[in-house]
Amino acid sequence: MNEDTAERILVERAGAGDRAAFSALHAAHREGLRRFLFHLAVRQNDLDDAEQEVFLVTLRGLDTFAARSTFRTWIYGIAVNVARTMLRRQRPRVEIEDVPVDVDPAGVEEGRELADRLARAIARLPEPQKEAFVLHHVEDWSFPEVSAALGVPEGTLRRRVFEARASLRLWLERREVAR
Amino acid sequence: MTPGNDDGRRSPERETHDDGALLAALSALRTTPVPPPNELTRARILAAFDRERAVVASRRRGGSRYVPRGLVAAAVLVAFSWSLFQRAPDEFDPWKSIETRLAVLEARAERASLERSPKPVISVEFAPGSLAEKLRPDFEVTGNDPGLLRLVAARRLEGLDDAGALNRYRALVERYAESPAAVVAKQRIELLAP
Repeated sequence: MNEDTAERILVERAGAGDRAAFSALHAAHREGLRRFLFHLAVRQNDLDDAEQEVFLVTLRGLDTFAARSTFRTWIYGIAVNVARTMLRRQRPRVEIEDVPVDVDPAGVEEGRELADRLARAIARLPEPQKEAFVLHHVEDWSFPEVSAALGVPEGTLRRRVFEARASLRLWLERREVAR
Repeated sequence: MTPGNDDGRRSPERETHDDGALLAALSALRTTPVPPPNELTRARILAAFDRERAVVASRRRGGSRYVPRGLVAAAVLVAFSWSLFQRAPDEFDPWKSIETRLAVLEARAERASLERSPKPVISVEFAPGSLAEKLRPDFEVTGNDPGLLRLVAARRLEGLDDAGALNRYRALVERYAESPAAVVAKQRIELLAP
């Protein structure tokens, strides 16, 4: 039994009211979703609320989950919508200095500094580019998977990722997002 | 740099060529620790699952505690209308024939007419030595029934025979069939009957 089939069974059982199945789904996707939301620039303080909202929407839709896509692409699509709502609520728009990064107070490691700068730069991207870039480059999803999650044609996604990379490269080179 | 690759996956070679700094930053970002999950959040999510399933189960049993307000209002309106319909007079009952409804109306009109014109009360004076005075013992038996009073007077004063008196009684009994004095009249008919 492959991973998708096993997960599909879990979804069916959770939809039928099996608490253990839903708990297993939550455990399996919780960490990845939190990382995804975090990279989409949801603030650290809002991360728990965002996680809760994603799973509440998910459990209400379990009965209607049509399995046209995988559970993972479906729930990440929900996460994108939740993140959009939360980021809108976080207005004024996230500034470079406000990017939610779990910063090491010392901040001496070069890798960590690079990651911080990239996180700030990603937060600057327009939402469609940010979502496509994070799923494709940070979460390492294929374009068909990103397309299924976001409901956007692959050609459009490729263009968004291309534009995102160009912007990020420019900002990193210019050190516009230096601390 | 080109937008994407043939298989849809990232191409490290191409990225390395164009995006050295970006790749390094990405690599670092992927290993950046994410704020740890909160167990309270997990408990809340599972509690929400329990609540949601309880609602679904209740609906499936048909025992939802939720009753639409519109439905309640409609039920009250129907009950109220029905109670008015039940109390409606017969002449307004749409389920009865027009003849029945007319008969009801006529009966009601007749009752109203009788109520408006009650039978006159006959008063009898008992003047000493008068005819009424002589009839007093019988009058007390017949009450204030003028017909019976006249009958007694006829029997005594007009010298009617038994058959004549009986005919007179029968006519009076038919006329006053509903009066209390009719009971007395019937007894007299029995007494007078040959």
